[in-house]
Amino acid sequence: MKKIYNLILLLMVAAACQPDEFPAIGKKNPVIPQLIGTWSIVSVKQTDNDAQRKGFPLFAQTQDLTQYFPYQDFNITLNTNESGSPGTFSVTLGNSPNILGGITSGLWNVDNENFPSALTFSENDLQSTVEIGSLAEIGAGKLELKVIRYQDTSKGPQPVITYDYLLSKTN
Amino acid sequence: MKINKLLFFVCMGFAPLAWAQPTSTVDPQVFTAEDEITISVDVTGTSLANYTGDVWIWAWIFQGCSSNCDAPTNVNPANETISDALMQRDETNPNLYTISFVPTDFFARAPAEIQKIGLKLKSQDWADNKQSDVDIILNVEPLVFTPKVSRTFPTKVTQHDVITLYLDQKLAVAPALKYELSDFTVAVEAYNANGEMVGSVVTKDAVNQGNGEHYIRVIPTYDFDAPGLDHLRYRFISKNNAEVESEWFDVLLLDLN
Repeated sequence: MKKIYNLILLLMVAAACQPDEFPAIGKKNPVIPQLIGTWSIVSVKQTDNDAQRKGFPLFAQTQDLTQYFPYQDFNITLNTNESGSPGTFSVTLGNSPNILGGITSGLWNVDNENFPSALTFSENDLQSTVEIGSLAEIGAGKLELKVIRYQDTSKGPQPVITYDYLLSKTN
Repeated sequence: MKINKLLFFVCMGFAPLAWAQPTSTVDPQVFTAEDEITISVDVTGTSLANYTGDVWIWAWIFQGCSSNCDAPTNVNPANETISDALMQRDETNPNLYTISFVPTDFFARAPAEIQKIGLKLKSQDWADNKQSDVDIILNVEPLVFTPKVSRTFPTKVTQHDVITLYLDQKLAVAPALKYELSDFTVAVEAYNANGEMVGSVVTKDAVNQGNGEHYIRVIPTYDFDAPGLDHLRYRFISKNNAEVESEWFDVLLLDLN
């Protein structure tokens, strides 16, 4: 008799189970507005991709360049146009090397406004493309950018040098 | 008068031997033994200039191998069995020849055995006396890390890159440099593609990181206010005795994307 009660109780509990409703995911946080502002360089890392492919010792693969040149002077300000899309930009170098290869002001753009993976900076005939390393901490005002140099080979373009720049939002 | 005539005939006698050096390029400029390379040779001014027959490459391992260093295609007279060594003549410049190959395949050797490549261009038979006259030597980047008196980081650079120039004085041959106790300064010169020095000499104090290793860092476009940078030359000089100095080392500035 007790077994029958337990079975009925179990069936009642099972019948009472309802799937939980998933909470709303919420509105997607667009990236472009979070890119707007002034960014300065926090750290610079240089990697020899050839040495990495060949398995050279670590000291011959990657170096931290942050302290050797005044990269901290480098500031870049990104603006949007009236429709909220990427617009103008300007660079303040101070004594820093220019990580954009001579470009100091002009227009910037992204490869995909919803899921950007690269930023392109243009000034007259000059153009520089910088890959986005990570947007994971953009909400905390941190942005990782990559500048990669490629060499054309019979196997297609191969990366030979990679710069990893960590930037923080100052304004 | 007699002496002048004698000099004239002596000079005339040697004139046919004074061949010009062939000009050559290799793409990519910096390569390993496992990369496919394209070698271009302009034979203008050599005994092979204006030759209209088939032209072949005669190649050997200049450094890195101890025996049988010739390419398997080094067969004289050349024949159809070594078609891999047949040079392609340019359609517009008949003195320009190209060939593409992967060094490890071409020499059938391990990468470690191919450190420098030597080559000449020739007609079918050496007896024709039609050849590029002067040996062309190509450096091959190692596939394994090899400590050297001088090395750069990264191994391939452009004029926009941060370049770290190292001296490992432990590996120096000259005792004065090898056992120098003082720190070093480094003189760096920049050159254009015509081999002309551009901008001013840049001098920087080297960082002594211990164990006989010293380095400086430069960015060509940052440190040299000059257009058309093609390559750098640098040497380490003792701060204690300017007569203790390394040889000049070269850094080729590549055109990467």
